[in-house]
Amino acid sequence: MRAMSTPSDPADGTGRTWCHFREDLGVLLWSSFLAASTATLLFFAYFDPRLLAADDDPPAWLADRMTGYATGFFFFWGMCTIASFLTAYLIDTRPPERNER
Amino acid sequence: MSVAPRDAGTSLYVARQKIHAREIAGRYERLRVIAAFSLLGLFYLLPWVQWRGQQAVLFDLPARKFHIFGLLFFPQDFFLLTWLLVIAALSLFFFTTLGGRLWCGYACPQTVWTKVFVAIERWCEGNRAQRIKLDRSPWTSRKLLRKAGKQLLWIAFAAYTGVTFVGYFSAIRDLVPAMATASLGGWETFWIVFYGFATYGNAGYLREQVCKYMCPYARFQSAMFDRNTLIISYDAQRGEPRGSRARNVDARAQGLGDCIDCTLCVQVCPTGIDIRQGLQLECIACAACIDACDGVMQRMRYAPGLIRYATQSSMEGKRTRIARPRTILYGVLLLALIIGFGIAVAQRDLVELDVIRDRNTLFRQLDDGRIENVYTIRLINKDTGPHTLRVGVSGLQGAAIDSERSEYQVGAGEIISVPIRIRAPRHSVAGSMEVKITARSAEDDGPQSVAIARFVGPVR
Repeated sequence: MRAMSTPSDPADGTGRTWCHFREDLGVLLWSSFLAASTATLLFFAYFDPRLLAADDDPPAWLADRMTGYATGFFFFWGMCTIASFLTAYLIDTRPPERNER
Repeated sequence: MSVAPRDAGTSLYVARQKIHAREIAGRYERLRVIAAFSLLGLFYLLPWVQWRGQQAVLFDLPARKFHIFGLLFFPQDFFLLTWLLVIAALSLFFFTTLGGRLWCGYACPQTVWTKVFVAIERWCEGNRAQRIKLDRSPWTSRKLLRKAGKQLLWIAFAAYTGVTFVGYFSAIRDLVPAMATASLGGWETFWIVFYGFATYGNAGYLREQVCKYMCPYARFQSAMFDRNTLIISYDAQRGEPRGSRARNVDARAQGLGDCIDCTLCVQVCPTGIDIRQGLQLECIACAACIDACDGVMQRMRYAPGLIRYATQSSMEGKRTRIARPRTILYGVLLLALIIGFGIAVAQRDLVELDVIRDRNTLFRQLDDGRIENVYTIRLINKDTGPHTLRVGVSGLQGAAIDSERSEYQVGAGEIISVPIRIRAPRHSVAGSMEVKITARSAEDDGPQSVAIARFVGPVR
């Protein structure tokens, strides 16, 4: 889906390389941020970070809840970014279809 | 679907040219200022409001307790938050169908904070013409002073926004003194900086590009539009053909419409579009072009409203229908959800009981032949006052609780865990049975909670 006012693709199909990587990184980070926020909210609504560490030897970084929340958030964000990155990369670098100009 | 934009050479995410929106006065601008003041006022003042000796709105994440004006919520009440979010989403759909992008123009945090940042910029660097001149001028001490002043104010405002935001999660009355004595916790500092930076970047630099390139709502809002939705419209029939003219000339005689092509509507547009080309995806319905055009119409002694809030139907000379299947459906659903939410909050159990079976042993047979099961029960008091809770058991013939105490004092907002042993005579147990555990407030008509637990004995 494209914004209405953006110019259409160049018809010669030369744009097959990822020439807007830096700009797209913004979109990747942003969309994964949204997904990660939702994931954090849902996850920690059901799981108390302290209970996750109810182990004989809990790692120190899970000892207090704020650290648990933050770690969880950045973990989700990282994972979502990887997924977004791969999605964008695979879509962008797939071979052109034969009948495409 | 194309992920990477391929309009080679130009960048989609940085404005091709920095947009210097022209400042404007008018009735919609007044409305926007009122909306911004009330919403920001609410955001900055709410954490300071006290309610019965406590911060009225506090989402205490470290303690996993959420205080909202004396009501106490726990993560177990998460479905209420989901419910609330569904209501919020549906309200957005409802109002979008009726009034277009009202949210974007008046209430979205992006719009509201951008407004403040733009006001600071204007205060430091002057009006549109002065800003453009300043940007083009070489780095003189005057330019440095103005730019630095702007940055300083922006950073201070963004930082305080970060503090307020964190103040919703960690008591603000402790937070601010802790900042003054530099004894702030690590994560608190981190989130203040994180949120402050996000505010600074979004409102200071990205601005309406967020609406154009980042906002999901902006992409799908048009799906909620129909011919009866209020949009910012340019009355082409009245305005065209556009053209400049002397003030006292009869435009009609010259074959001209009412648009004098002064391009003020383009200059004031924060997204840099020309509304005269019709409704565009970028239009956030801020109505700045209406204010600009009405001012021009007044000076030209023409009737206002060449650009106005109007529906497509009314532009075509038809009647605008407010009640239509879509709005009725949204309205009814919304009303039902709101009523349901009110009932769910009012009816929720103020005392909650969680029963966890002992994992180590299924059951134990006592010397007198009775069967014993061990549980840990969690008593949660969501009420604003303390409760004395009496724990009892029923549903299994002859079952009784063997414990040193039968009453537990649970303070307001407290959760206590107690181990209990339930004993039942041999003859009433066969394999796995159900047993009902109740926690009842000692007061008459006090809150109570029931939990069903499994009671295990030998198979007969």
